[in-house]
Amino acid sequence: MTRDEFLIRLRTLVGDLPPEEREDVMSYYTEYFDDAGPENEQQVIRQLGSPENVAREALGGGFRVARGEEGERPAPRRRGLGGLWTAVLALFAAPVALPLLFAGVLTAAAMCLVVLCLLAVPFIIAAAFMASGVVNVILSLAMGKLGFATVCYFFGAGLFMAAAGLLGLVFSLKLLLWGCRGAIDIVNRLLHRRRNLQ
Amino acid sequence: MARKQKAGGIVTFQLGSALLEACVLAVLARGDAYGYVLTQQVGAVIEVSETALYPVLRRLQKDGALATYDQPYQGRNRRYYQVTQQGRDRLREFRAEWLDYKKAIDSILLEEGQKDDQG
Repeated sequence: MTRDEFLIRLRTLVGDLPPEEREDVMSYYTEYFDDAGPENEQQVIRQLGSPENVAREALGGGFRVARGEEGERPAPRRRGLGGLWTAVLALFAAPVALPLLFAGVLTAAAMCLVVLCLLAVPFIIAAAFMASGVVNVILSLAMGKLGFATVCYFFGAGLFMAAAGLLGLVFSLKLLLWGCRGAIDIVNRLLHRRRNLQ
Repeated sequence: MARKQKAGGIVTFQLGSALLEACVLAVLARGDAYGYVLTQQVGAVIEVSETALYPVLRRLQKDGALATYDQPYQGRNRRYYQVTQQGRDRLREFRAEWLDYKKAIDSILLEEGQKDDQG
């Protein structure tokens, strides 16, 4: 790598800095190369390591030990004021915000109820099937007068319906549980996101 | 980090940024210097990575401990660093802190015949 390639690469790496800082870094290291002299060019490049190395130190201050000193700038103060501001704004917004929030909560609850009802439908259908199946089986035993074939028919049909109903019941129970778990998951994720924002 | 590997040796003690700042101020207090020469002077005595000096110089400048001025040299500009009065005060503080620090380390590191010393 030549000194020019080094400096061009460095300029790219510090490109995100404000122009004054960027020019400061570039002029420092350009002068550094100039003062070392062309005969020391490769030695300088070896000592500096790489343009990435130089940029990392120039951008970050470079001292892992001293990161505490670097980050001392007063963010806590600003955060305190922000909290006060939020409280004041919240107070002023309350007359409109609170009823809206209430309406929002009710709407969300209503939507959940609709979804749960929808999920309950197959459950109800399956239960009905099973019930009618059982009824058929019982009634068939009382149909002796109508003939053996009739008894067999209703008995068989009843068993079939009861079995189908039971199967449907199991599946719809699983569907219901899945729906509930999904709803809880969504609520949790919403709560999490709010916690992250705070 | 303001250190580099000694060829074939083990680096045990690392120069923190505060100590490097102090050393840079001390060297410049003896005479104004520009980046390359300053790096050579500091590097002659302490194991320091050449890229470590720029952030130190920048920070000292921002804090008002150093001032810079340009001098034309062979048709280009050479930027010199100079210690300000504030810088000299800071150096005095650094020196006092160093003496305390050195005393504390010596008392632990060089102390013989500790309670648990079996030898």
